[in-house]
Amino acid sequence: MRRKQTNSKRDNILFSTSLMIGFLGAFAFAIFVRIGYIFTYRKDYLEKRRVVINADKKEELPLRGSIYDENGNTLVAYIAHFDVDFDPMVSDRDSFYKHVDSLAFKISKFKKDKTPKEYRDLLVSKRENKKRYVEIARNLTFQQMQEVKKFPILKYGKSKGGLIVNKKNLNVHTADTLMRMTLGKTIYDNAENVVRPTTGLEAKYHTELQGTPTIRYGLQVPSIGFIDSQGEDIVKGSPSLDIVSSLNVDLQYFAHKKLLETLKKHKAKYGTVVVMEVETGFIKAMVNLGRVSGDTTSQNYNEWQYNYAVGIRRTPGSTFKTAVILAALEDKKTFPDEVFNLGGKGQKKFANGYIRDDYPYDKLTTRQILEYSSNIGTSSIIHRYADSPQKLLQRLNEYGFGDVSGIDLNSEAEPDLNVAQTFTPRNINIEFYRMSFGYVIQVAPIQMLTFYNAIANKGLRVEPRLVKAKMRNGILTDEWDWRKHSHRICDNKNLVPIRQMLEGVVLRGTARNLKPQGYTIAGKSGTTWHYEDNGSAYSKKKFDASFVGYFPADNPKYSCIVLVAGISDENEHYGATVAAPVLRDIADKLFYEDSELNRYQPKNQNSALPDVKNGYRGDIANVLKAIGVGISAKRIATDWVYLSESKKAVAMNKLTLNDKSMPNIIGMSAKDAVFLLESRGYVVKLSGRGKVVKQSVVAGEKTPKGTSVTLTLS
Amino acid sequence: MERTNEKLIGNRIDWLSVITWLALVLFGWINIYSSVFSEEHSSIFSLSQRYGKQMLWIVIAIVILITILFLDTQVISVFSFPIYGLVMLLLVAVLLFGEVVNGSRSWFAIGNFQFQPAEFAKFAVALALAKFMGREGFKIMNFKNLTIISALLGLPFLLIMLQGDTGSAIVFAAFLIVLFREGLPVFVPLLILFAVLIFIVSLFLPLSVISVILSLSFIGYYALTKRDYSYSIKILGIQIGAILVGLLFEVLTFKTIPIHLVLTASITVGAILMLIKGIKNRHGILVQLVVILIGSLIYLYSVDFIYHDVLKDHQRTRINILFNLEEDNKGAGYNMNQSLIAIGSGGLSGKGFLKGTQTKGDFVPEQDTDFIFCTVGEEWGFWGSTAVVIIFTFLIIRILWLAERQHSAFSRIYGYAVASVIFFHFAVNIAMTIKLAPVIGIPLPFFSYGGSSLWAFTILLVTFIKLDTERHLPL
Repeated sequence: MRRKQTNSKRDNILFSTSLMIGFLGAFAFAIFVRIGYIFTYRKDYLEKRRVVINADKKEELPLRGSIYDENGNTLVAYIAHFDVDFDPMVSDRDSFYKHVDSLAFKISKFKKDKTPKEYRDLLVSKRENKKRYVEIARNLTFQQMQEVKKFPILKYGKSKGGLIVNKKNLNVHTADTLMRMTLGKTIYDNAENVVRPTTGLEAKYHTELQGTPTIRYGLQVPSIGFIDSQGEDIVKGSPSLDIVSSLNVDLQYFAHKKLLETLKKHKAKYGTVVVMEVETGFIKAMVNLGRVSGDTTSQNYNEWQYNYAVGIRRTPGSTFKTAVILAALEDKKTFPDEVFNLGGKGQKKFANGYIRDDYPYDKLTTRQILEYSSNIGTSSIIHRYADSPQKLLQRLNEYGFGDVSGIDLNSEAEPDLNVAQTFTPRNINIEFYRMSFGYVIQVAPIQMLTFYNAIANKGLRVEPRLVKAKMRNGILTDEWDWRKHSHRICDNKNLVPIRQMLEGVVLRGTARNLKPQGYTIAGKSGTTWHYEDNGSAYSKKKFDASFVGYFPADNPKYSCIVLVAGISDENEHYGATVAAPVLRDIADKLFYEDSELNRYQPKNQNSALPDVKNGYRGDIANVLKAIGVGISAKRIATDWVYLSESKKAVAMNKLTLNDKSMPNIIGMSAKDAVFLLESRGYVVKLSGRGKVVKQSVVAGEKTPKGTSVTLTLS
Repeated sequence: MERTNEKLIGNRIDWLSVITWLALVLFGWINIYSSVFSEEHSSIFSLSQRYGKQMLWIVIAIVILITILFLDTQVISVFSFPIYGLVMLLLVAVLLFGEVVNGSRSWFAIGNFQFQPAEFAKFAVALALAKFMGREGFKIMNFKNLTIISALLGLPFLLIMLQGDTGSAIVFAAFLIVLFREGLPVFVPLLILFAVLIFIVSLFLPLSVISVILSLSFIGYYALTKRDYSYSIKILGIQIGAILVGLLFEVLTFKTIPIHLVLTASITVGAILMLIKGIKNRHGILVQLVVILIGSLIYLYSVDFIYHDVLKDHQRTRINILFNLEEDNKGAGYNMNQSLIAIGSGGLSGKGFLKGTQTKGDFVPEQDTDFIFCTVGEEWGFWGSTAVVIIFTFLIIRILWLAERQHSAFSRIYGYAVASVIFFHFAVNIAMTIKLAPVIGIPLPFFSYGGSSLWAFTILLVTFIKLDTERHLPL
């Protein structure tokens, strides 16, 4: 009996044990089959499903391109910056309230703008009002962002701590406040995480600077963020391009300074200076200074107001006389030495009105009319067109006054010849004569400069141009060929007397006060009533003074226009006395610093090295290539180099980088310096512009991450 | 005799189990390394990275392993209940002072490290069960014993449920296997299977239809076993009559009566008649059938209630996703979808170590813990996954085999408990990554990232290996 019981008990156990092992085996087998199924028959379906599920798109733009000046100095660089925000609803109640004090303390200590209590109250009230967004910090460098990520609560990351990090491209203007209007304004669109330019080169070359986004497919999971599908369904974008402009920081700085002094001295509203290379049309400097809006008597001017050189058309005044006289010479309506009887009263009736001169000239030749800028004189000359005004209009169109100059900026104002177009032999009135000295019509300064540049360039009109080339990874592309963008506007034969006259303006005429030493300037001054902003009428108490010309007069290399507008100065408001000196200073600077122009100055023998001596290898190599300097090409495995000069070429040497000590960055461009230092965890502050001449922490010194380094640029 | 034994402790250790343990732990670490690997931190031992920490946990686990092997077996047996009591206290304490992580209050935070007492509850329960059921002359089918066993299991279950960690609580169901081995009748597991089946069916069919099917099958069963066809047809007739009456009532009164009410009423009428006949004629089988039928119907309706009103939204969603009843790619379904895709992309031999793309990046919160198996699938492919399954199966069978050779009931029961817990974790964890089970957040033993889990499983297993070294000694 007992034995039977034991047997049955044992059978029972055997049964249950084998049942269990059977169950276990069955389960293991089920898993085995299932995995096999997933790997084989299900595989294609799952791959399809991966694509179906991962249908969300994420567009990622490359780092925006930089803008360089003609010597490779960085004008605008973009560096990745970070915004850190916080979603207080993500962390659970307990850990939020447990750590909110220390988080508030850390934020307060980091930002130093509010007390820990204020931050605590802010964070708590946001959470209690179920707000999903608190701004923690803006525009952090990579290193700072890493620091903030370690704060309490935030350290649990996105899905558990509510940390929100947005990467963005933030621009660094290494040239400080210079040429902002030309380079352009940008707005950072936080929502879309893109740079939105509104003006200037940034806007004109937005597509190139931005590049096209790399599109990834994945899944936007609310609690986690975007998850890359990691498949091969990536639409690769194109890299961003850098822009090499024709601007020269040095010259720009000089022109900026001179114009600013003049604006202040003569209490003007705004002013502009444009310097152009005669042969190529490249703009070397473009200054647009305007009074900071609001106060009409303010002495504050900056580059943030308007692009007066390109965007505003205005009555040019006497500088337009050159065009009328050139047309008359070409059409044989007059000849340089023809004598005109001007009446000697200082005023003379034409059609239905009177034309006045400041000085009562009796008799002047055509040449003298331009040199002394007689309104009655040019009216007498334009009178020869009274029977065929359309012929004059045709000439003006040929000279380029009928259309935009074609400069590579978006905002160029079109010239206004509307009134001129209405003249017929039957309806000639006083307005027709006023046109001869630059009223009635309107042109933008850049268009006037382009005309004078063509005169300087022996009748060949080249398009003004700000960008010399685009650059991809240090290799130049799309180099601008001015020859393909030029055309003849008149015969050089007719230009010879005009050029003599323009030279005469400075030698004998209205602008004889600015006669330079050692070379000659040719040009024409203009003074007009100032046209008020509301556009309704000329202000008889304010003046616009301008001067446009080129130099050296015998073999022109640069042309330049200076406009000083809205001058309140009663006594000194003439183009020759206000605007011309600025041009003269610029011409002096260019002449004495240019060894090609100034044969009396010994050639600069000391260096074949370019301006930038240290930096990122690819960039340096490219600069050297661009200026045609040979590199003694040692193959060196490094990204960072400094240059030294050997007998005939330039040697690239490896820049020693050590993890813990400060590298030598003297001679680097600001972009390279900031990139190198920030990538090594230092906090960089810049002062000045150009290339690095001084670093606050000496090279080679042991420097912990997070150290602040001030760079002096020059 | 004893001296010799002590000298030969190395000979008496079941090295196969130890090696299997080591293999699982190391292969687990490799996969953790791979799933959190990034180019920036390539140092293996960096404590700022999870694989670095896991390496530290492994080293400590080895220390624990050696310590336990040199412990006196008597201590284990004597301290079974105190350990149980201590862990229960910890479970209460964590409810009061614990940290909330992922919505469960189940962690103690000590400095930078976190500790989860629930992981150790399995060890405590295993010891307590072994101690209680290992007594001389213990009989399981005894009301008092069943009550105590239920209390031993129920207390930690409730405490862990209160923490909000449903996954860890469900694990205690694994101990049913132990009870089954120790004499729980075979109908218990069958009943559980039946219950699970009804639950799954209830997701797809209306309750009234299931009720009718159940009712019909019970009547059919009675008819076939007792060959009492006429009575069965009579009952059926009455039931159909009840339905017709209901419909007639509907037509006459122009009131809409829900069809499931009509069906339920007709089933109830049939059941009552059968119950009366069963009691009158002392037909035991009939009474039993009716009781089971009514029990099933009550279960059916309560399951429906639990499913819709007790389960949290995300739990319901997880179940729905399992049966393709719902899609939620961006929420609850995210892990399961990605896991399947990852495993599917692995192919036969996998993409190779560190080559996985689906499982990279720490965007999936459970990438290196609960979903570690998808890294295995993606990088080591079918062969790697199969190897893991085989190693686990081998380990479990090995433990069962060792358990059966124990002389003391304590060791045997403990061994079964170890095998059951490991099996449950292994089965449920892998099943959820391959969409055979709903997502239940429990780790893969020895594999998943986490100190508490690794140590708890190591203690659980090594204690048994230690007991096995002294299997000849009475406890």
